[in-house]
Amino acid sequence: MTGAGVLLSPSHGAPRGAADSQGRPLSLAEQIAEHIARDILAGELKPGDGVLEQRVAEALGVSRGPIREALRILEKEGVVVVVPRKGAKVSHLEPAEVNGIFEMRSALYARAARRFALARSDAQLAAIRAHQARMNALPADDPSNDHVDLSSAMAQIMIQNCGNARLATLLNLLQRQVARYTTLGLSSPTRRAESRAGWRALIDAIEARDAGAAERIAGDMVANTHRFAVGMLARAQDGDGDGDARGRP
Amino acid sequence: MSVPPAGPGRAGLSSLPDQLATRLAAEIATGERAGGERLHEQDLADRFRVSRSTVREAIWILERDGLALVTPRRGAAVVQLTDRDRAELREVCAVLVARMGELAARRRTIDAVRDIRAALAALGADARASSPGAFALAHHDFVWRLSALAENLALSSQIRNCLMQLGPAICARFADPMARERVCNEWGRFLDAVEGGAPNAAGEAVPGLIAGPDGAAGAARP
Repeated sequence: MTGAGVLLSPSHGAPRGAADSQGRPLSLAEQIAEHIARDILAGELKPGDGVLEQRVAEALGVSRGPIREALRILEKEGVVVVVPRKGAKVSHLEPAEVNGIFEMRSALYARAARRFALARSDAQLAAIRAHQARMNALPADDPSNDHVDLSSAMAQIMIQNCGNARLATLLNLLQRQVARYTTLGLSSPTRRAESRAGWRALIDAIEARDAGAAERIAGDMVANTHRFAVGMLARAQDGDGDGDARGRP
Repeated sequence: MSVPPAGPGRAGLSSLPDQLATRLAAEIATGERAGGERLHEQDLADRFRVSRSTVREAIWILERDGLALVTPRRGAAVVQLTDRDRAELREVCAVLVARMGELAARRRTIDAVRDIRAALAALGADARASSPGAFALAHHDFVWRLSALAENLALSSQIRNCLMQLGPAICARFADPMARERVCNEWGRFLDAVEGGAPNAAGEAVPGLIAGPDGAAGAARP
């Protein structure tokens, strides 16, 4: 797996996979949406690129009906933009839009952490601790995407068990829109060390059921990833850019 | 990302499906179309004299915004919220409004605050004069304009969206004219904190209309 991230893999309790978080099997359209989203996350489809129905149909051996439905699902999630009679394009987010989403996400994520600190079971805490141990065992210069994957897996346990399903859905939707930037924001050894330290403090607060501390630390963690990703984004746009502005919603 | 609904000054720019969706969203938010009510493509096409594909696109927009639910082979219906859904939505909305207040306190300009004060005064005049439904829509528009102080379009859209989904519950509270005046006063205090450049105070001044519990007890509390 390239940069796709475990958000898309069922083994880490992710929102999508062959089945959703409640174990419901995914429809054909949802599986196609999954496939396209993975290509976008992996960078094979870039912002502004067209998503050609014909090509997807040939690659997956499916008819165009479910592909169109898949594109509607992705449009609802803000991942692509469907232009009538012109087809679908991968959304291009302006820096201001990325900022906007992160500003929302940090507040919602902080609330999810607060709720989870109060509501968590011992088994859920143990599951997070197990992921944390694996994260801490990764070498500092680990070239794989495992740090991001484990971080996503821990966040998913927190979000899915925070006790507010709407909060969880919105957080996952926003995460999908900025997933690329979250990966960017965790791409340097320094940032990963900060992320490990953040998780250590957050999990300790959750273990102690210290809702206030969990809320504050979780909000700061998103804000730090945001700050770093925005810097990377600014540099990328100084270079060959991130596609053009036509694909933006 | 959610495209902002046609607000003041945007109506001329929106497509036919957008306009129809805005119209239907208002009917849903005021409770004129109740939760669970079917949205028949042909009926809507006849009533608004548009094509079925326009109706279908409008329904997609409503579905995206959480106001309609499309079930394969059974068609579309207005979303029906349980008490728990409403409580969850209220919490999400309160978190977003608190964040909006924090950002607005850092980013507001004096001119923009003055305009919003004028809009709040107009809303206050409405509180005595208009029907609960009309006031609810005026109130949503006011919050939409107020949220622009935070300079975060995604956040504004999401708050608007939560308020539209909570629409019928909010309308029920606005049946009491005192509740309408109260919410205007609460927004006044929120705006004081924003104007004073106090992010924490603004974050804590979220109106009880949003942050408070649902039901008659919540509506009747002084």
